[in-house]
Amino acid sequence: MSDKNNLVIIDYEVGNISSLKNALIKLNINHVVTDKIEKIEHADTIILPGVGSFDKAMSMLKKKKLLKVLQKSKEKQKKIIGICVGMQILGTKGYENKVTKGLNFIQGEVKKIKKIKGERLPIMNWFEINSLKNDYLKIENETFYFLHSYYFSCKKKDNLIYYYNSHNIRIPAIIRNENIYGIQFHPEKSGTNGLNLLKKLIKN
Amino acid sequence: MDKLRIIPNLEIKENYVVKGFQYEGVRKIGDPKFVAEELFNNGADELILIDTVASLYKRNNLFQVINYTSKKIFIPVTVGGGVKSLKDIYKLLRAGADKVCINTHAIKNKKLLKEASREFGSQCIVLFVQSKMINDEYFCLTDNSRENSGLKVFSWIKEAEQLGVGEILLSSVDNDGSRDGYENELINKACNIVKVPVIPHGGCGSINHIIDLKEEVGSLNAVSMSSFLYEINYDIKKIKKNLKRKKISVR
Repeated sequence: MSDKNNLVIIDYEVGNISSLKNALIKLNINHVVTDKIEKIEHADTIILPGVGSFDKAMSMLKKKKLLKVLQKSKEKQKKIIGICVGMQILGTKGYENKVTKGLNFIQGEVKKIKKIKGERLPIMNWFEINSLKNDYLKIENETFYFLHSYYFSCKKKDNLIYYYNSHNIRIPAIIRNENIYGIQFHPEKSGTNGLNLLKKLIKN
Repeated sequence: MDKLRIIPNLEIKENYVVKGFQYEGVRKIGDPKFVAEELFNNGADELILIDTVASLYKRNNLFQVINYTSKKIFIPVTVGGGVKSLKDIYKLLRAGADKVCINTHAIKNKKLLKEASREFGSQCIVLFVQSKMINDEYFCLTDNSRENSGLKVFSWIKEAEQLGVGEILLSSVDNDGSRDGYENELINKACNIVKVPVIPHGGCGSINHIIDLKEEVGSLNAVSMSSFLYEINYDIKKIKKNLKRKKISVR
């Protein structure tokens, strides 16, 4: 199929992919769900979805031999969008279950959020996000659905685009390094705000 | 402070959303697809769908509904009923559920919670508790509240948290369908015992019941309800407007 913006969702068998797929169908955005290297090679935009754990996600990528094609895609400056655990594995390393190396596309470590009195963990809620810089996404103060107990601690402040506050820390909501985007929340589960964001991210 | 999530809890039997009193004597409410979509359009923060006869018939009948909701409803959906293995969980997640809740088989096979949260992540494994007071103590019922497991609620939720569940749906069978208010004492104690989010269910009959509960349990970040919503024509927007007026943060 000749489609200018060739979008691929990587299927590495982590959690619920159908919601993301259905969100894209609702937005009329053509896409392919695949774990085939050839198809990923031809993509212009790649989405790394994910619910599950950091170590499981990385081991599935390895098992499916997808690390090299992702590295190549990054070098070719393709747009790569990681969602939730897909965002976290963009980091240098993660501490979930055991210490695991990540893709290192955006420098940072993925650490457990510390329990504090009077706040519930895992985080499962809607939060307004704040921005640190003027970004083309323009979603300051919009509300999105977060579901996690680990957070991405950016090494470079420059990579942090949007954040929210909980558990006495500033938790990254969207991080970016050139064409690599990481989204901690679930845009496919965040009602209209989430759908609009997906559209902006993919189309621009 | 966290927002308070308003979570409709749909009990589904055969092809209908139903509602009873103390999980018995059910009456038909409507088509699950229609009800779910109405609730989403009216501002529900998440949805819970439970096949109430799944354990009895040994199968979960909600695949068609989940398949539909995942195309139309872009908020988190928790699905439960008769979930007994990792394979069941995988199938529900692949079909479009975001979280899976487990009662009967978590009690029969405690390994399941541990393995499931390890495999799929704590965030999508929800413990479903049906609490009933017997001789001044809260006990966990199973099989859609037909059987008493003999397990005490507070020790079980603590254990389940250690086994790795990410959330607890805590339903009071005594208050279910009564619309007399939540069982505040049960919920308050449960919230002090575990750190994971607790979603109270059972008894909501007015907006004041939500306000009372939130005032008593400060760390509460979710409430679930069913009959009340059917009575007010799914008008969650009105609930939220009133909660905001009381300075309770909602989406």
